[in-house]
Amino acid sequence: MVHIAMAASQALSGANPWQGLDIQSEWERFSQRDTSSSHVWTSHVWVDSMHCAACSGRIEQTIKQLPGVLAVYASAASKRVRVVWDAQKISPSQWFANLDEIGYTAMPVNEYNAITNRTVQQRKMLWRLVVAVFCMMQVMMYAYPTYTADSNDMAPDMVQLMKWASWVLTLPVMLFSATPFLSQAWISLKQRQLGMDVPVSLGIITAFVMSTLATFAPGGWWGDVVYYDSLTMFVSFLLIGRWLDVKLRNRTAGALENMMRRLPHAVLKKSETGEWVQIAASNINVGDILYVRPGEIFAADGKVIVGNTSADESMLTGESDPVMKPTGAQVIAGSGNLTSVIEMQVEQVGEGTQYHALVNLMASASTEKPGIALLADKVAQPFLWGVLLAALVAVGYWWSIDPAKAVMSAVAVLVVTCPCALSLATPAAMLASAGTFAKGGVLIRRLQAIQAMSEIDTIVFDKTGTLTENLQQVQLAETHPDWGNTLILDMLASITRDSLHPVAKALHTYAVEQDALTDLVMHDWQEVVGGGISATLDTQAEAAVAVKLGNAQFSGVMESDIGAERQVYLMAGNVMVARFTLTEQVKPHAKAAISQLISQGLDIQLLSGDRIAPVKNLALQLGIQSASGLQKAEDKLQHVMLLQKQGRKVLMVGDGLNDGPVIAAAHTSIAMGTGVPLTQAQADMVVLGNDIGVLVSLISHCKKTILIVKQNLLWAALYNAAGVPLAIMGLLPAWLAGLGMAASSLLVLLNALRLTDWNKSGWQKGQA
Amino acid sequence: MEIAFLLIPLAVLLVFVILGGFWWAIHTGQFEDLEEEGSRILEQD
Repeated sequence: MVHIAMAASQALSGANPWQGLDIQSEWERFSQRDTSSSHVWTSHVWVDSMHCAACSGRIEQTIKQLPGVLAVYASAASKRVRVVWDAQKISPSQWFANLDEIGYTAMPVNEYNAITNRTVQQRKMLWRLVVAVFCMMQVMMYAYPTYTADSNDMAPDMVQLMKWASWVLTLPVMLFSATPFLSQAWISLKQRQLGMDVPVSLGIITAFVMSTLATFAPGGWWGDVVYYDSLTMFVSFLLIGRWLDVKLRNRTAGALENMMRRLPHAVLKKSETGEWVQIAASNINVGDILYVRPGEIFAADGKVIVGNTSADESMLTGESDPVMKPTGAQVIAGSGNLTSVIEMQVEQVGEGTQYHALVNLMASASTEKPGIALLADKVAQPFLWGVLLAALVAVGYWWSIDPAKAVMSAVAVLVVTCPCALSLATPAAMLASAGTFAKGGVLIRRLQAIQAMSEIDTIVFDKTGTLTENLQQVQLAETHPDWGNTLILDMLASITRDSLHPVAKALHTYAVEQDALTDLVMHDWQEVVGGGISATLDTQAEAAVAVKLGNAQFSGVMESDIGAERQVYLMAGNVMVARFTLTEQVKPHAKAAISQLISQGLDIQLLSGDRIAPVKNLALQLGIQSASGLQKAEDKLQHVMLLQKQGRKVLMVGDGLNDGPVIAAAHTSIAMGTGVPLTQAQADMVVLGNDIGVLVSLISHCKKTILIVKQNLLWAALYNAAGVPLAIMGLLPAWLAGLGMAASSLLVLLNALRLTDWNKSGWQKGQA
Repeated sequence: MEIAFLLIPLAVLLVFVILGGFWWAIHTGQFEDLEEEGSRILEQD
């Protein structure tokens, strides 16, 4: 490997490693064109090692000296540098190289705009919150004496001054902090769609108008009571909820972007002359040969062609153990190269990679609304009309008795019914679970799946790749005495060389492991589906031997041992040269997981396209009562539909590829296994990695999620049921209503946070 | 108690001054990353 590394560094020392950035389409991704001049650009780059003001000063001074650079702004706090440059005088690679020289490696910030928008949004929300909370605290101070002091203790002038002060402090809250609610309410009114913000805004505006009248024109029918304290507190609580929401959403978006940023921006590619040149990652093509050093991230899906290494695929599979990657192994974009230098050949780039599919999957799942949340949206409208009616009842009832009280209780009704808790109940819990699953290597395509998963009573398993390993163990069971083992293996290795059938692949691997030759000359190679392979081979001993490899029927022999194992025969002419047996390996936790599922009262069934004997045998091993073999895709579909006609809720667990229609028909579905091309997986959930045991904890966690959703909804409903009558009767001051509303939203959020704790293998404890 | 007539307007002014401080803090990113700053002293440059 050493010579490769040296060659690479030599190739690098000559050329500018950032040349890939000098194409306009490349720099457009992290730059904006100046509005005044078409060749002046503003670029954003990320310098990770810039920690202090001294660093940023040095960077600014160095780049500013370059001709063509118009301005440089470096910020150590954000680790970002903004460079304004003239495309006619300088190219990006020049100032990137210049940064390299003084010891700071820059990275283009592609998604700069998205990040800036989110930062601005989050800052603004925090600023609104801080304004509201500070003014609220001050207003409380002026409200306190009026609650506690005797009416004779305070001079009327003093009371009036406090009201004025409170009004001044409430203004920024009304005009700035509360604008998100007010504008949202205005928009929904214009669209004639009653939203959650309408009653909220109604409450705020009513309280403010009444208080203003009481402050500046006391003595009217509006009384002289002010509600500045309730109003500011109410807005503050609502903003806390909004701010947490923005923060949570930004964190999700940030996590997705961090995943995207994981891929390297520049890679070393073998040029036509055999030298290593640095190119931008977006210029990689299928078929390119890349040079990957330990510690680097693979930029594309592909195959190792030189070298042995191990890779960290934990991000894709949730399994933290390094995966061995010998020559010929597949590597996945986004996984990390751990131990040594390798060369890889690119097979998939960009959108085609598993990594991209994963990111898209997560992005689409996070925007989906589960059915139970749609229900909450549906009840929102009648709910709001009910609220307005209740407020009217309160006003009507109190108007003749005490007009001031009428306003107060109407405000209280509007506040107490603020549907924050109701609208937070479902998404908070579902998203918390989805995030937790993703960390554990379970991806959710549709949030509905969580609900569906909690309802299932029957699980139908596919066999190969789901309950058993894709790899099959080969044994040489029988050989013809006239044929040497070496020759048999050579023939086996050669004839299986080009087949893609899993059995042939397993046999080929077996032969190659025993140092068999794979280059015997072959003619008339033919593969018969459902039978085997036939060809004419030239061996050293004899030319043109007609060779067949396949099952008993294809080879024209009697099945010698009708057991669970698959028999494969190697024939030379009409003579059986060798017999191989292939045993499927049951996945490590399969037995324990299945018995656990059965003990939970679930009906487990096994449907496989494989022969009946191995299917029955596996079912016996795992304790599955109902198993059928020789099932084609249509048979499986019919079986599942029959079960559903009986009123069962079926979970289909398969490899997610061959079972497309079944998976679409089932109540919900899971695709298992490491080899699943995510782009094609149809299942609701995808379990990365090989551990079937995850199913047990997955189902129980889905049940827990739905339980928490129901708790949340119940709490929101109970709270409203208790609050509204109290508010109508005037027993609930507006500030207490605001407090209750905030507390109920917080409770719902905290309850949902309990779902972030998921013990993937916790179910095994009871087993040992 | 006459002093309160001076103190209350002063307090209101003070709130706006403090809010000004917060405005600066928020918009220069002081609240953006609360974990990393504490651990940075342990890192080597």
